[in-house]
Amino acid sequence: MSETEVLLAEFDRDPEVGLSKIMDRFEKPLVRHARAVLLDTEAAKDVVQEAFIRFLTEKPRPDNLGGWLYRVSRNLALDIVRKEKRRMRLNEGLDEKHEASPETTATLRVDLGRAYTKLSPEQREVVFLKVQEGLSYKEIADTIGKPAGTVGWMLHEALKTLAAELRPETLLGVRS
Amino acid sequence: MKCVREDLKARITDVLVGEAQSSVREQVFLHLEDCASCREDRDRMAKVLGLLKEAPPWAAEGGLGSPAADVDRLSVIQRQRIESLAGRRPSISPAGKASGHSISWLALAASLSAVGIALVLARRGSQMPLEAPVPKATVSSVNQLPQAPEAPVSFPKSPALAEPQSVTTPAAARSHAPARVRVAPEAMREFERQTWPGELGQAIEETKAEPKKNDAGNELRDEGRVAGMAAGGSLGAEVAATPPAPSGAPPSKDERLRTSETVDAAAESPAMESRPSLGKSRESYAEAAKRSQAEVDRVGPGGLVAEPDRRDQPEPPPAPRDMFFESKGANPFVVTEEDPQATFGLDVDTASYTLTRNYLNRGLLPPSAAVRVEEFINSFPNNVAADRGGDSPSAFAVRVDGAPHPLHAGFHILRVAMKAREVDPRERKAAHLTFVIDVSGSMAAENRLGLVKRSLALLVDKLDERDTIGVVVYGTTGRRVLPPTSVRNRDRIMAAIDRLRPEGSTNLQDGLDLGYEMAMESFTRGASNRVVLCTDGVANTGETEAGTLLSRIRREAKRGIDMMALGFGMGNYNDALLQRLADEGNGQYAYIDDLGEARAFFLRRLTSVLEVVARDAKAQVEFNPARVERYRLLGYEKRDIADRDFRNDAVDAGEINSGHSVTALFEVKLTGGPGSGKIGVARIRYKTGPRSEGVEFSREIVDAAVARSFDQASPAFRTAFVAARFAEHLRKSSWVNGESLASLQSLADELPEAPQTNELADLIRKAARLSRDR
Repeated sequence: MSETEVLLAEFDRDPEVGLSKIMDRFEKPLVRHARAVLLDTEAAKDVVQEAFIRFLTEKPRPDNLGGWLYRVSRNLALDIVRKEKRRMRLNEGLDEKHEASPETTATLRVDLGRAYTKLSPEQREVVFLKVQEGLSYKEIADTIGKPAGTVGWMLHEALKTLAAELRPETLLGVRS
Repeated sequence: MKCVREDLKARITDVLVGEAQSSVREQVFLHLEDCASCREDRDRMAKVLGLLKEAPPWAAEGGLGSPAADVDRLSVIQRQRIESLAGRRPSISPAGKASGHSISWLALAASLSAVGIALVLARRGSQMPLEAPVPKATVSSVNQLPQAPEAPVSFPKSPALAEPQSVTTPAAARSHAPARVRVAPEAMREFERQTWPGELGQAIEETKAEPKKNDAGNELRDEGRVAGMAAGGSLGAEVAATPPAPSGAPPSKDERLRTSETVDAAAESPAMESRPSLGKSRESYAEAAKRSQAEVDRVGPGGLVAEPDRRDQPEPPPAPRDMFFESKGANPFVVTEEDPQATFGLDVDTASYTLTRNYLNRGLLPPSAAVRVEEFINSFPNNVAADRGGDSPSAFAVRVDGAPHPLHAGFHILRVAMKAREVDPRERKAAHLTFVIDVSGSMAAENRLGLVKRSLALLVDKLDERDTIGVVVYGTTGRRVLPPTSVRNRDRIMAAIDRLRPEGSTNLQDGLDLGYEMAMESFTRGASNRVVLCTDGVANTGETEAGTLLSRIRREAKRGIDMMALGFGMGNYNDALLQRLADEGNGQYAYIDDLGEARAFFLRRLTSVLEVVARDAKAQVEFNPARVERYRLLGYEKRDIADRDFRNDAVDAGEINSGHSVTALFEVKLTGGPGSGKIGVARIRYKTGPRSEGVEFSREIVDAAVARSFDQASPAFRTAFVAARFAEHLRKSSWVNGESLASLQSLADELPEAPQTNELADLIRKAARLSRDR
């Protein structure tokens, strides 16, 4: 039995327990992914909540549940981006700390976070899937529905942008 | 040196992330040996990749691996919302922590591996279309949501959810509509359950869990408990049941029977002997409520407000979009012999009426759950002359009267009208107000923040140098804007308010925490210490669990800082939560939809806003079974108090401010004649201070006070009835099922000309037109 079959069978037997397992299994990765695209934790959670709600209301029987949830959540997230060109809020309020010494992780995070917001949502997603999830170009290509070559190009462009946006001291690694 | 191998640039990235084939890798390495510019590029790219792993920008603040990684979990509220759709009963511990989570808090590592699996699985499932799994629905299917505010009215904080991309049917659209679930109805329900004592609480809970249990009526009929309910909720229904068999047990001489002659007369009646125990009576009341709810559910398309048929859903969504309302169903008729007492907390809120007016003026029928009968009634002054005497022991002037029911022959309306003592503005206590103002993004919609500013300006203008004002705002986080400042510096206060701009998300918890902190700074014993919350909705960041908020508010109210909740705006307005907040905080709740309402609220009754003359005020009306066959309290469902708690001063009830009108109406079936004794007695009990002992007084309900015809009743009496009946229509009470609004319309038209009654008649006309159009 595949993992999906196990989870769905459990869900059929006892929706409470099954749902709990499904959520425990997928909520964090889904939230993290949605946030990588949206740069907004609350919006990401809303999207994931909605994905689970659709699972319950549409009652799909996907071959793989993770994939199904992921696609629904991804579409919702990209929808937000498309419709609203949402301002990124991840690093809101942290700008004051901009001048702090670059030795701290916080500064690095701020600097990198700001640079990251310069990427397009699609670029952010590719970077996330590559760096965080360690997927291959092929896997990313299947996931986002673009050719593998394009994935490589998007990643390259994204890294270039990040390199250009980072402050020299961050990039040169003044830190220890 | 300029690089000539542009084609290799992207390949360098491929090599860095291990995606290049060996032949390409070789080429790149060879090139890098020659090209300093590309080596530099490679170093920078490698550095960026390293930094991304070190401080992933997609991680929330706190970063992966830190305890804050739990920010990646859905909130308790969100989880509950999802779980409720799976048929799970809410299971929140009193502390407000979700036990639903406990099953397996996956370790971070486990969940990281889970994402890998999820994504690999996703890849394998890629034969499925990558776009939305089901066909796109037209946006209109969402916009046609019944009773949803017009699209521009609402400010969706989560647009994708407001316009679901993959919707198959309107039913599915509805299920998606409550996009940003901030406070699950389950959570609110839990707090309610806590306020209902023991057995009854359970019964109520069951009522809600199975509101559609249609065979409840049979049980009720068999046991003869709520006879009047038998004939499909018709008022004129004949009694279809036999009274319960005498139990043989001697009647317990309850101490609550001692006080009035009404009851003495009743005690002589043999029927009294068979009166079930108090507990039983209450139980039947709750079951009747269940039955009543079942009736309401059956009203269907014939009802006034055609709500979507949600019976196919495991749990009805709370309301379209972000509007949260909560209904307890209409009170049932109670057989006097079963339970001669109606006990309830007094209420001076008027938000429901204002909110309804706003809906109707926009051409929409309000959601039935937003309609609270008592708030309709209390939006109109009763004609009771307030007691101005400073030495008077009573905080209330009371008038009890009645008239024949204008719409149902054989029934009467009884009214218990109370007017709180009016405090002279010169004698009012100093006010120390802390405004806690929502400046989240949604407050920009319809210039809600502008209305808040102008409303507060009105209030500040009426205050004087005795008073102080502090201001706290909250968006993404809370912030102090103005420390407690004497109203002598009016300009400084106004400048601070004027500078407010919408920003960020909605961290209510943060705002209230800061607000209470500031309120402590200006706290003065014996003064009116208040936190005035101005918001259009609810928390979406920070502690969004209502439990934590409510317990904080309760605690502060005990310390003497009351809460006043002012609701602004429509799009994502949380009626249920604001009402609850004000309740727990011993305060008032008002909905302000325009400057006119703000004026009415702040100017006409400043002392009524600031001066509490009675705390935990409750009423108990006890009917004489020899005179009243059955009775029904109109509204006050949310204010129900167990009969036995009437003299328990610790029970939370209503706070009544200076000059406020509070009116309760009963529909009763009279029986016997004046020879069988008085109709009943109304008792009022309240405290003058948070810790003082309860004061109680009573008024008998006598035949002389019952008018011969409805027309002869006072205008205020008639207005109260029309308002209550209107509310019953709007909330689809089964008691008005099948009745046309036209008859109510003509009653409204006969009311004496006054701006308020004209408005009421106008609203009834609008509602009649809207329900006809459906």
